[in-house]
Amino acid sequence: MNTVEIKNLTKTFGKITALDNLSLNIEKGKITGLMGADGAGKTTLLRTIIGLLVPDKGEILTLGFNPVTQKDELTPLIGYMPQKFGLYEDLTVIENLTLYADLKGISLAPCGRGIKGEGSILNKMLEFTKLAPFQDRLAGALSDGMKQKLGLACTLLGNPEFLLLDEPSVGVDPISRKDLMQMVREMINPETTVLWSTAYLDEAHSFDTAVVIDKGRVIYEGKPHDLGATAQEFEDKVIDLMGGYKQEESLIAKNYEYTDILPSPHAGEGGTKCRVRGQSEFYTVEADNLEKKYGNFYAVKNNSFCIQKGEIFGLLGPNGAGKSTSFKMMCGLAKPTNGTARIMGIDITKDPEKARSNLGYMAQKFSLYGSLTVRENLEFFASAYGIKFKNRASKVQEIIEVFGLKEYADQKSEELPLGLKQRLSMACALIHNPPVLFLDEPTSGVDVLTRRDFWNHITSLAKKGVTILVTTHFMDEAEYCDRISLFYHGETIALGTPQELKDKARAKTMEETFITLIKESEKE
Amino acid sequence: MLRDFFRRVLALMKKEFITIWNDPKTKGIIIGLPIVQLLIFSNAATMEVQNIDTAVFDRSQSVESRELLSRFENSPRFRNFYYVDNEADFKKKLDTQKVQIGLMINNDFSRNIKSGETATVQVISDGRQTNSASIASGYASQIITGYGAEVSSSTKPPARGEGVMSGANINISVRNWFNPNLEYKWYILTVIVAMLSLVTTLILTSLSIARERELGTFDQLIVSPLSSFEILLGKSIPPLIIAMALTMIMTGIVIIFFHIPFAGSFLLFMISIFISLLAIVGVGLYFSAICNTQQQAILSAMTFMMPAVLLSGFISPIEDMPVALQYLTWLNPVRFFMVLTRGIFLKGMGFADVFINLIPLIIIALITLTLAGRTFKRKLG
Amino acid sequence: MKILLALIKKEIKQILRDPSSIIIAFVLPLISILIYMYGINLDSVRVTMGIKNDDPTPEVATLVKSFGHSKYVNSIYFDNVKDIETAIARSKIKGAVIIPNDFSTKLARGQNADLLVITDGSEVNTANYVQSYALAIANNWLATSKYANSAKQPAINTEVRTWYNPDLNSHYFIVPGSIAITMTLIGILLTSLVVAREWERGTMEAMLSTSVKTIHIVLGKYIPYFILGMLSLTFNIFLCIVIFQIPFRGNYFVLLLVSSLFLFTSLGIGLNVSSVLKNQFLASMVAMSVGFMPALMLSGLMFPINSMPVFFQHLTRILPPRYYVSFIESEFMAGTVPEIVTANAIYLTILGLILFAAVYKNTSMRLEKYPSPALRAPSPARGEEKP
Repeated sequence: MNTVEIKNLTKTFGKITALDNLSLNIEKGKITGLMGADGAGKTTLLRTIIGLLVPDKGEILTLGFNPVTQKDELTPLIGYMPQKFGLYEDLTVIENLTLYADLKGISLAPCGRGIKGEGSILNKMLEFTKLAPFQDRLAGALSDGMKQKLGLACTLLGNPEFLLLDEPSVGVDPISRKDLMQMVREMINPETTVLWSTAYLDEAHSFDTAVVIDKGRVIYEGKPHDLGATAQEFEDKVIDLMGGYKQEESLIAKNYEYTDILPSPHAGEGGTKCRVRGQSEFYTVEADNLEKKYGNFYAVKNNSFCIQKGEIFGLLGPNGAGKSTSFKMMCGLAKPTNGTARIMGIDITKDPEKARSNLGYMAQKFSLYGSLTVRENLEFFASAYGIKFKNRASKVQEIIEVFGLKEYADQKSEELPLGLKQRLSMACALIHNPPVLFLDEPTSGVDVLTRRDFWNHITSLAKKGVTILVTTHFMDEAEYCDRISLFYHGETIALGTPQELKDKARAKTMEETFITLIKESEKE
Repeated sequence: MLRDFFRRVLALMKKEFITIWNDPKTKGIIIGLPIVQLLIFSNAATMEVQNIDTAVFDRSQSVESRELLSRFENSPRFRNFYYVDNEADFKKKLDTQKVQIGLMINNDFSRNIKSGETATVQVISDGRQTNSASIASGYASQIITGYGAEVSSSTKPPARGEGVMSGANINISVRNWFNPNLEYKWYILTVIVAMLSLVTTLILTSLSIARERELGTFDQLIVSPLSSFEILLGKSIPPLIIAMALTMIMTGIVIIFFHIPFAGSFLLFMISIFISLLAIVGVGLYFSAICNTQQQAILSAMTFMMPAVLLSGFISPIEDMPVALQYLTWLNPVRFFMVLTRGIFLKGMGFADVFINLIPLIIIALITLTLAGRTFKRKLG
Repeated sequence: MKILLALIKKEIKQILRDPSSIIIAFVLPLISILIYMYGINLDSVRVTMGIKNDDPTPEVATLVKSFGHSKYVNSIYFDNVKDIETAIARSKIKGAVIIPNDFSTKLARGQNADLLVITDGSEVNTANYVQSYALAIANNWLATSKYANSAKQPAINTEVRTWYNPDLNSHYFIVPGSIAITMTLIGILLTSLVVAREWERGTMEAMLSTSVKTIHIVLGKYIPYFILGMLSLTFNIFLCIVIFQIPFRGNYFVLLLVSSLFLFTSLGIGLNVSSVLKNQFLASMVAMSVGFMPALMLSGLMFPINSMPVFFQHLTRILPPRYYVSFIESEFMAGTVPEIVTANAIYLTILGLILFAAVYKNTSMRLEKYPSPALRAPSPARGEEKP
């Protein structure tokens, strides 16, 4: 019994072939993981299956319906969570839930017990998502992890027969990721089919079936355990399937010239003293007692750290812990209510423009110009950061090639798949050879191959003397950092090398470390 | 340093151009729509009253009354005539707006004329549109008086005696400067060009920063080494150039297709348009800088635009407004914009007069642009 | 039904959360009525005129004085034509009257005396006022002067009466008429952004994968903004009648009924723009061009439709403000005229329904345009032929 039957499906957008003669069956009652490189056609496949897109050629049967002609019969039976889930940010948590419940025609008040009564669907959802304390908060004010949970909850309403999730765990911390997985597993019944597109291969390893697609074709379909017994083996096998990863010398790092702008004379002779460690080495990035207060609520409190030249400093923590706020204060996008930050010795609150000229910044949310092509975006940022016109074309061309954006160079950036958008953001942040790089979740939504590639660049750049401040939710990536600051409820709860933290938590992997340290701090 | 500055500003300008200009739909809407509107409004909007439909209730049914009515029928201003034979129908024609004016001729009309007494014709105008009503009834009176004059000279015996002919009279001879035939089109075209440039510029600028805020790209811009001043320049020059080009295209159409003589100096005209548009760009960017969403930006632009257009002197002259409102119009860039386009285009305004009108515009531009530039970063939170 | 209610509730909450739309619904009418009330005057406009008198007789001096006494004219005296020229070029005066030196002589002889009137033709309206004021003042003066005896008695007297508005106060029709412009703006602008915003923010994609049907989306947008629009409209009418004391001779029920039909058409235009363009910038640009500008220029409020060339008269027929302006002016000043009410109501209903149908058709339930029918559902036969 198959929930979806696809035969020879082709879908093109202009010149680009998103799905190329693809055939696939998805078994009923199973959780199927959908993997593939960025731009492989995962989102297009999901959208086509439920009839949001119309195929050029081929046949699809979803739950026995033709999604092209019978979309109205089909939609009540499915739950679809798009990548950019459509929460109404100006509605509260509870309002979003009731809205989607109503849209799906679910009665929220069985037997007149009231919509928020004992055991009602709404209560169950709030319980699962742990959003009950925040039910009257506007969705726009939630952290990313909470938004994803709420989005998933809205999708799960009404026990759909077929659940399609498009990268629900992007930008979600390990704890919340576990919660999401648990939510899905507990909310569905044995008859429910789940199609889950993901970039986390450990997640996919736990599913019933794995489907890997590449360039619009299925390149693997089978049990995840057949590929690898452990998550790590599975990851390596999938990488092999996707063409294999060969660690090469990072071209970005190779072409990088460390252009150190000397700190301003006001900052003291030959650098600044770090107050945290009390040493007189030269620190390129310093956070000095950063604090952000909204009313009575501290988003960030007493945040202090110093980063040496060439160091990779990881900022880890659950969603909503205050990482992004710290980040924004560090680069002058938000004004600290107290304390300050220095980049290359320049105080960000005093001379933001000068401090920022040393900085490459990659925002968490894709924030490049959607209507500009990849090349135009790069050209813009190159010039904005003062690269001379005569060098610009070659620099842009170089970075396009290094980041593998050649095929997409003349495509509008808003049309790119998520992973490629991230690549472009990183490319834009790096284009002016900054001595300091701030990367806010650079790898979320990026495929596993590209992630390895990213980190190859990051570590190679650090060797060249670039100071890197990075946040991530991939715990395996945390291992690449020289030092890590673990952040929770606006405060640093642990700081040290990955090994030091592991020792402290008496854990083997970073993921365990993360969970243990957070739990411990919660107890206190 | 200066080269860095230009490089950054140029890059931002190019980016703005691409975002506005790359999409064919946008291009069509920005340039095409105003031109279509120019062609429609200039042909349609006129305050000259024509095609007057008339209801006639002729109780006299005499040679004289028919003669009078034939004068009406031969007048180019009057179009359709509805002859009714009772008062109820007459009233109905007016009530239902079938006609704009009504003529009522009493049954003693012919007798009075023959006997040399003064006959009376009633002209009833529709006060639901007082302006066209009074113009239409003015035309009617003219025709009636004209006929009356003819009748009296033919029926009355010429006065005997001291060479007094038909009596003293005042003849008005009119010279209309700058527009000899008082063509309404000449006037309305200069107004419409200014108004359409205003609308386009205001929407282009009022959304530009608000949109970046909504999409999150403004953060990226702030993190880059671009200073507030550079962002301001990069954000104001592209819409200014596009609006300039649009205004020039529209002016070209006005000159070439509507054959309206361009009386003034073209250079002065360019300078005036540039500064007027700059002031509007300033207003738009200021709204954009203080708003968080595009909806807020467009609504505030609207709330500015409607009074600005209505109080620009285009519908009723500024001298005629209450004094308080007259002072208020000093803040209105559209007022000076219209004075300048009309003044240079039709009247050939000289440098000194242009300059006087430019001063308020320059002040408005300086204030709004400075405020906008300062607000970019103050909104950071 | 439940889905629809949920969507309406959602939309209302969103409206309440971002007060800009509510503010606009009540602030715009207030500003606009104040302007039409005090800033716009289509009746006898006061103009500044220059006077140059070359006939220094005492009789003519009284003519010059009567220019000075007229409440519609500000007169400034000039000695030479050169100064008049400069004054007109600088818009200091809108026109001038020059009395030639043989003026009184000719009148005394019972001849036609010339009066030279110069106007600033660049402002056509004021130029017309200058002409007619000069003529009226001169004729009034003539009738009371010593030359009057020889002026002839008119054979036919014209008696002008103005029905519906005996005071000839243009505010009585322009203020109610302005409601058409305000409501077009509010109706079109608010709705032109709402669908585009859902596409831009990605909420549409999530909604399309639920049981929501086209009709729900369409009505879910129409109804909340209709409610907001009606509140704004009622406020508008309240300002008009109660605060600014514009005489109202019609029927409140009829007024609200036809107004709601008009609102229905405005919302239709805005929603069409929004669902076709899916981009807030383009939508607002188009909304301005098909909303505000035609409402101002082609509705018959400022510029009489009858005077337009025939083609453009027909063009105005596709624009809802035309019908509403015609209706509301008449309803205020002449009371309910059944023919006017029904004709305009029928036209507005037809336009509103056409627009509604268009919104329905333009509301896409997919992320892309429906392709040609041949590709819609590949027939099994064709599928089997292929190996």
